[in-house]
Amino acid sequence: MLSKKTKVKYTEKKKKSKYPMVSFQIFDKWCKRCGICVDLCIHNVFMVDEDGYPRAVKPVECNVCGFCITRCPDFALRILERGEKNAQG
Amino acid sequence: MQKSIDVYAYLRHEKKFPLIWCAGCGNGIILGSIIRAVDGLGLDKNLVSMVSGIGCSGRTSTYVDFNTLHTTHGRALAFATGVKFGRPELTTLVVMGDGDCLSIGGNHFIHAARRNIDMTAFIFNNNIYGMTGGQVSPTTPEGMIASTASYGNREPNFDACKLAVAAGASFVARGTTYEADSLDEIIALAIQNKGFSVVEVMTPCPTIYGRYNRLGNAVKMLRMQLEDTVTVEEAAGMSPEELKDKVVTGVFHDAPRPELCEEYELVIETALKK
Amino acid sequence: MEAKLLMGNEACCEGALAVGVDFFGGYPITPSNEIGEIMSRRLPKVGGRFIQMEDEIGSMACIVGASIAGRKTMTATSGPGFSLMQENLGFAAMAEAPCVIVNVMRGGPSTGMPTLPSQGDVQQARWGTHGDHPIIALTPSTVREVFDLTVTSVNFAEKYRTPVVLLMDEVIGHLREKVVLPQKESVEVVNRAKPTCPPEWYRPFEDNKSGVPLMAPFGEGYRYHVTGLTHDEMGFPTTKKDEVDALNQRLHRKIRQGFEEIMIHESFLMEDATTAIVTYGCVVRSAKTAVLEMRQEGKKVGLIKLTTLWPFPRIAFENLSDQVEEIFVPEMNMGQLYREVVRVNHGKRVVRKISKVDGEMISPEDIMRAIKREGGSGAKVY
Repeated sequence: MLSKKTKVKYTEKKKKSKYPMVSFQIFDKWCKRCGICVDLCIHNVFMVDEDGYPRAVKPVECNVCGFCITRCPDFALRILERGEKNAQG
Repeated sequence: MQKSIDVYAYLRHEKKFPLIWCAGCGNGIILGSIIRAVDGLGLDKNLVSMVSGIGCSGRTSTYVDFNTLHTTHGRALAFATGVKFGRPELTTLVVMGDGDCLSIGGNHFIHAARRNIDMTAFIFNNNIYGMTGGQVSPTTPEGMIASTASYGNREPNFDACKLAVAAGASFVARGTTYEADSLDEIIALAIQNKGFSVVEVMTPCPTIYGRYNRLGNAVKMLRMQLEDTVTVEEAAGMSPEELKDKVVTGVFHDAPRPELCEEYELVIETALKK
Repeated sequence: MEAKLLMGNEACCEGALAVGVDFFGGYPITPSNEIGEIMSRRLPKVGGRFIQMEDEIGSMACIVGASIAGRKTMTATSGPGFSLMQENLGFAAMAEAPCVIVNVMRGGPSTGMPTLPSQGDVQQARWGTHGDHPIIALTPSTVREVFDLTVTSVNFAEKYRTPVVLLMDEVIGHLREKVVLPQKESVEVVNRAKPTCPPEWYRPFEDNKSGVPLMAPFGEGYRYHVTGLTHDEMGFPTTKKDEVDALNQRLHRKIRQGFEEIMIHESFLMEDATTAIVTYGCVVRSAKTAVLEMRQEGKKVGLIKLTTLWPFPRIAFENLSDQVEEIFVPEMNMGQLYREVVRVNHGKRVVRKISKVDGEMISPEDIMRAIKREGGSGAKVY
């Protein structure tokens, strides 16, 4: 379980990455908290928050393999590359 | 990495979301794969029709922005035959569950394969009747528990792919939701095949099948797919004993042969001469 | 047009082709086989399509699918096949897919007598599929009428977006008669109303004055959802009670609003009649002879021919003179339509049924003996 404090700590950490900078959009309304994205990501980008929803805590680790998106059964996850607008799906 | 971007243009996301399926159900993963394959082939949405039957898989058509038809239990292929034969320019995708396609719709399945009518039949195989509460299905493996097989299923199960090949389908493949990326490719090949294509997709049902058989949560069931599957190429070098509890994935059969709608053009030609 | 010697089943095909049926899905069953055979030969010549399905369940499903894809569709069957079609006939009613089901009635129950006539599917045509749904069923009594009613059936289906059952009996299906068919140009052709609005404005199951929504075929830019589940105006499943009620009410209303047009019936020598014979299908032929012969004997007998069976043409009885005291309903079943006649007469008249279920057509003598209570015939009066 991830508290709000740690979440802030992770996302604020600016680390140089060899991969393109991405941000994650998670539609809580669609997400059913199955945990597939959290458990199957080999880079451990996600952690669950207090309510069980996934949160991208280490986006810098993401190599944009797309594994989480294609395995999200609810279309609740979206990767946005830098510069892309955070449009609601 | 554009995979996430295009999917939403194909969803009726303003109307029908969130999806009706349980947490961790693989049906949404398959739907994503179908959409990516259709997108990759550059098909016009107006010329794609999706026909589905009854059950969990039947709801698939509700969510996707094609010409969609949600039919009666087991009859999806018969309805799709009417749609395709009536308007051959439509790319027809038929979505069925394992019980839907192989039990109540078994007759329509073998005859659609025999006719080799140009459509792609997806069998969402979760080994159980999910929507109705977990009854035993024709694909429930022997020994497994279901609500109507509380002491373990003692009936042998169907191999949908072998059945399809025997009945005459011109493209037969199997994929899993864990290997969604290769599933995209399989589906794209299936849609491109001019004839009856069958894609069986193994999909986890953690809420019903997983719970009855203590297979763990969605993540565990997905990981199990990875452990339990071998590709066609790998399987070729394995003994029957080694293959016993394995699911073989990949393209089993790809042998194009004359297609029904095209053949009917010859019927018209002959009729006009007489 | 010159006169032709045609069989009822042949006339049915002529009517279907004249009104523009361009898709036929069927499965062989006696005594309707000729319809499928002829359609398989004729349709490819006129740009139509014929497919023989794996069973009647598939036949019905495939004509509904083709109808949604924009075709004018038809199938033909008989009792056992009609039973198998019921499931998807209900789907057609719910999804409002125009289609025509020809049922050449044979003796039942079950496999019964494939080559002998009966009128045993009258109530099945009305209530065969589950759920509360409206339906239209017509029944011809001459070969020429088979042609006309096939045209009417297709037109009703297209106009009201509903499945229409054409209930022939084996006698009419296999009867050969001299007929003069109308010129193709003079045949009235109704086509379903299509939307003309931009696709994003299209509401596929939206109510309107007629209660019949505009129907866009698949593949023409209007992407929408069709389902057998109770649905809202956009076609998506719903269980909200106001939307559920609106749909069910509209399905019935659209047919109810057309009652005047749909309830086809004819009166024959009813002006001064004190006894009426009410019947349909092949029995009309015997009843006409019986009426004429009994008139010669001085009995004031008339005939009401019901062409539409469902919705039951109660208007045929609403203006019936009070001098009609007795009504006889001869049918080749144990009284399936008789109970409807009883119902609409509200006890004002004595209604009796004349039933014959021995696989033979009811003859004029059967009717006359029954009316005169002479006995000694295959038909029994109750």
